[in-house]
Amino acid sequence: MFVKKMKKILVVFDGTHFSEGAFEFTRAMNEQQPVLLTGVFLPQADYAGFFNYGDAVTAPLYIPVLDVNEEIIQKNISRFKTLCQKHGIEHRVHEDYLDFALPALKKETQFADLLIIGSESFYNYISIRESNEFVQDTLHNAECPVLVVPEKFDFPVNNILCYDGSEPSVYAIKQFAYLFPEMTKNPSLLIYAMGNADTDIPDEMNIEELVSRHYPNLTITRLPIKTGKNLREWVAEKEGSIIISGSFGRSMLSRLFKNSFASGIINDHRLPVFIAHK
Amino acid sequence: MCTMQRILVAFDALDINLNSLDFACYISRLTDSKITGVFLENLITENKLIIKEGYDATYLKWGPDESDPDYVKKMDRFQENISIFQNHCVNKKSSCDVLCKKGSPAKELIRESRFADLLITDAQTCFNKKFSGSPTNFEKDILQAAECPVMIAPGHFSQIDEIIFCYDGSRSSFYSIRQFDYIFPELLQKKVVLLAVNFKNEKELPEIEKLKEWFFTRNAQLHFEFRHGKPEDEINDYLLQKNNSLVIMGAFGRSSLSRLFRKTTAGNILKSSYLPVFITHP
Repeated sequence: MFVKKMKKILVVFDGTHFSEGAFEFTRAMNEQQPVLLTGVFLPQADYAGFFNYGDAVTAPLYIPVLDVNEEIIQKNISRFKTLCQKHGIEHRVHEDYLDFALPALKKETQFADLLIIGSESFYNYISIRESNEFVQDTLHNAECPVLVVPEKFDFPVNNILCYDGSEPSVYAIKQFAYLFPEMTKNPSLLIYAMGNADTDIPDEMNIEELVSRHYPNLTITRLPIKTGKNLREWVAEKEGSIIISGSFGRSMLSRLFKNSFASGIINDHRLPVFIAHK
Repeated sequence: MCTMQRILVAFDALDINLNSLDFACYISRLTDSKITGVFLENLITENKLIIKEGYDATYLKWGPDESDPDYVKKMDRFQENISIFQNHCVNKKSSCDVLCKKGSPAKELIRESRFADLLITDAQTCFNKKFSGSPTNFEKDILQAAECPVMIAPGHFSQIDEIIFCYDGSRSSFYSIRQFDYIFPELLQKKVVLLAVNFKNEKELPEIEKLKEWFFTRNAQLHFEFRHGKPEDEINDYLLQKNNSLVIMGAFGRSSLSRLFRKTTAGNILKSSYLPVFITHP
């Protein structure tokens, strides 16, 4: 018996910008396995207090809606609906964007398999070198894995699994395999980007045992690099990859690269990045 | 489509529990996965100062006394249990391998659980007899610290006809069913009962629309069961009438308040471990 199963996906657009990248990625995913897509359109002024608003004790109950261009949001919503219909994607839209309190988005992520954000649209507001508060807040607060998608990308045909021996890195590798079983067959590279060429990979046997079951086409490598720059160069050579990383802010990688590893790649090379943490 | 999972089954090295092995074999066939037997023993309590005689000198050593007949007997039993495990798996047509670990049971198992998709153990496994009763302290450590979902094997098992999902609107209760679905995508096609305590009807359940939407994407049929009263009593009461069911509990949450509540809930169900219980927490 064929059972129709879907992924439940949230995609967040900031009010005035329609992220083509995020939509394109969802469309390509839908071809592999149907998705139920919920579009959330946020007025742009909300970024500042994104996840903090509604914290009844500390935050004032006031939503800083400064300059919501309703027309543009409406236009984006109808564009979203048209595109979904055109590509046969089952979808929902949160129309009540003005009242859509941001903690509600957090709640929404509890019941979703994946949250997709178009990174460039958010990076528009922030200088490239400074990390993006919105993205960081989302990553810290989302209760499901987050996929950050650039505007222009090739749909991933390779997986880059970042492993540092820590729990979050293994957790992310597992979650990606559960969510994208169809992509685990792609060539996958597990990188251990710590120490020198002769540093042992922590728990090498265990991680190989686990990962090779989920990702049959697996290569394990050490990257003896000291700065993020080399890694970024290396990543740039890999076209059409997706990066799977444990955490964004506090990971060992971020310490290693000064700026967060994931952040650097989002900025420089625009590869989709899948981030999951408990 | 379904990927192979890495499933660990934890046994007391000296007292293998065949019921949980049977259950593990079932899970292994269900997910088409190999099971890895982890044989745990508590050697730290065995360590003592022993006098060793070398070729030209006598020296002191801290460790298990390898010449002690009790120790030898223990090791023999350990080897015996490993072959019982292997033969059993062959008979049940499950592929298996064995991982021998020495040292503190809970600590080792937690380390291993990072690299596993599921950990199966039983409520009776008890290494340190002074923590008697079930769940033993060992179990509680595992439930809280395991880095993968834990399945408590039932005392007796035949099959799974029904999934009972204990829902209280908390973050971890929904998290657990999401993880359950990732590991056992086919099981949600069975009858799914949502068990809630102290809610009058469907409409009162927190986030019911989102919940239903998610179950819709999984093509699952959701049935509701409402109970009123003290949660742990009611859940226990309900589960006592059940056979061939699997219970999903999002237990051992983060906040201390919810931990207190859920600890007792999960604890009671484990004590009467006649149904398999799936536990994980964010």
